[in-house]
Amino acid sequence: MSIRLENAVTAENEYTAEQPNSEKPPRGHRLNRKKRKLIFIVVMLALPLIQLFIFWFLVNVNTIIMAFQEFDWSSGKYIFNGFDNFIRVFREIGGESAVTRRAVINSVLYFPVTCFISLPLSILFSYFLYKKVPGSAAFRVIFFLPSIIPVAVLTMTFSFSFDATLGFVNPILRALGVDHIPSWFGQYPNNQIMIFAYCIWAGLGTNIVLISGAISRIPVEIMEYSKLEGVSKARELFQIAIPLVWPTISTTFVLGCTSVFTVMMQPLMLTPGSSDTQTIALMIYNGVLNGRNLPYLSAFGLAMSVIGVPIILVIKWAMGKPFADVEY
Amino acid sequence: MNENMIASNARPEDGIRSAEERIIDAEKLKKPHRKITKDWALWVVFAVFFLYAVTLVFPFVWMLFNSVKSNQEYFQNIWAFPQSFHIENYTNVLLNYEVHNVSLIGMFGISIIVTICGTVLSLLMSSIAAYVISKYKFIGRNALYALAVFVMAVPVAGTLPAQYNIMQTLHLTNSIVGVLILYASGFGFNFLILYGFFKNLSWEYAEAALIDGCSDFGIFFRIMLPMAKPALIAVGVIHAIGLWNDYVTPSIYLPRLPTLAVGVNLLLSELRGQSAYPEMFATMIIALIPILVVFICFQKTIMENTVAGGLKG
Repeated sequence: MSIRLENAVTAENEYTAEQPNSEKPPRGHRLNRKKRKLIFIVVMLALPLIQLFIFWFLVNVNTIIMAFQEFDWSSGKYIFNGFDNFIRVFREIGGESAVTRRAVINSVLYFPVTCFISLPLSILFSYFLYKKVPGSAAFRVIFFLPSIIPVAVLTMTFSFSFDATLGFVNPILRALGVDHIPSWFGQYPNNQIMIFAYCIWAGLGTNIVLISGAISRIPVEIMEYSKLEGVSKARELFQIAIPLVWPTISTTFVLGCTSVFTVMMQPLMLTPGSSDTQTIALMIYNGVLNGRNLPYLSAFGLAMSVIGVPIILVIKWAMGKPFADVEY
Repeated sequence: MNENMIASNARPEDGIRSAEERIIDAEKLKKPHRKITKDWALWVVFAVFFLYAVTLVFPFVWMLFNSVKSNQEYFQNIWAFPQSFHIENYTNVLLNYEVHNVSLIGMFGISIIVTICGTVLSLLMSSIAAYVISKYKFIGRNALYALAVFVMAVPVAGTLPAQYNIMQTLHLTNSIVGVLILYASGFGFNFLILYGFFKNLSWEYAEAALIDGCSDFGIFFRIMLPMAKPALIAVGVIHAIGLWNDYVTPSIYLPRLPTLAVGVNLLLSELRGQSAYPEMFATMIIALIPILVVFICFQKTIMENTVAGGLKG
């Protein structure tokens, strides 16, 4: 396979390699130079292209092939089984499997949580961070920390803080006079709500650093001019800052949409072993880890991609609409 | 609002006045209570920020104190200042606890190997791809660039089963080499950043070197790569943090050789199960130290480039 790929690249480039901006040397030397350049291009690109071919192209093709297969125990091979896996996926989501159904519902809920709670909060916080709240430099550094702390440590910190007997949150709440302290990670939907709370708590910081960074790149003159004109804070935020950093906001929004298909670490670590708080990605991950039915899992992933990717691409396209890209 | 209108209405007449004068005028027009409200609002925001920052920092400080208590002391009072310092909690978790026969020190070793090799490989692959595609003209060059953007832009859910299947077929599961091959991707976020970098790099150095008889390989490895050092360091540090913290890939493909990110998770559950809380806190502090050291050393690079990445991504 690797040889075939190299040949393909060779054939593609054989007489076309041309060096930009260079003067044309004498003819004999030029051919020589062309050949040497060709060898360089082929040798250099071979490894990255082989890696991409196997671990992106073949993996995707294999996902499609496997989704239409099942493991035949008598022959020990994967055999074609038509749409059986997909039928099972949709039956399970339709109600045959409470776990699968709930995993899909949980996953979809990450969309409003990240895009309509976490993101607006981050924008608001970022604006004020930009507005030079006292200590904003220190806040930026502290807010950044959750994005680099190992997720196992951060999730354990969070869940242990809420530990019923030995955590520190409950004593603080009791001291503040709260009588009915819920069992935080006890049952569904409490545990799912706590996972969402964790996502907002841990995700806010990174978003703030990203968005306030983008706002700080808006030329000072624009903000000063709006100040001269006596523009109110709210108008400055909604009519100047947000439109000018729209690319960053729309990227964050689209990433929030894709979280529906990618979130898995938070439920995996905050509620280990729970079947109530699973997500699409976590179900697939657990399935692979436990060596379960790979073809069925492929079909599950593929079905979600076929539904999700067009939606995300439409959202991406729509998010580019409200404000024209401004160069500054 | 009133004074805002006055300020903006006054504009046409005072076209020739300097900006400073207008600021002074605007300030004069403001009623005194406005200034106070503004400050008051900022302090409310400050209070919110402060509370949020406390929730981020306090748990770790609390853990640091409790990590040096004896188990008994901790159970007696989770708020008390430690009376004696049980540093052995740290040495214990470093030496006496194992996950799949690997101690924390072993996990550090595995993580260091995987992170350094993975980062170097990935940087090399993406700088090679970025350099060749940005600096050499050949058929398919634009298609390759478009493909790199496509790979980045189209989210694909659930290719993990197929990837696992291919890794099994290639006998790359349960091996560090397998994980490194997975990490050695030349087309991703790093590619786009380095592509932008090489694109803007002058070709004149290469021309001079060519006249001096330097080969294309020599130009890349001896001239271009060294010139790209600042960009490579910036991209590399962030990439390395990502690999150091990666959980999914090593947990699936290195089940017998846990990296720190994977092993700490297993160890924490084990210690929590045994109610060995101070030792659990010690483990968490130990797992934090390397990342904090890197963050302190490269704080500016990391934060600036994450911001730049957020804009481009």
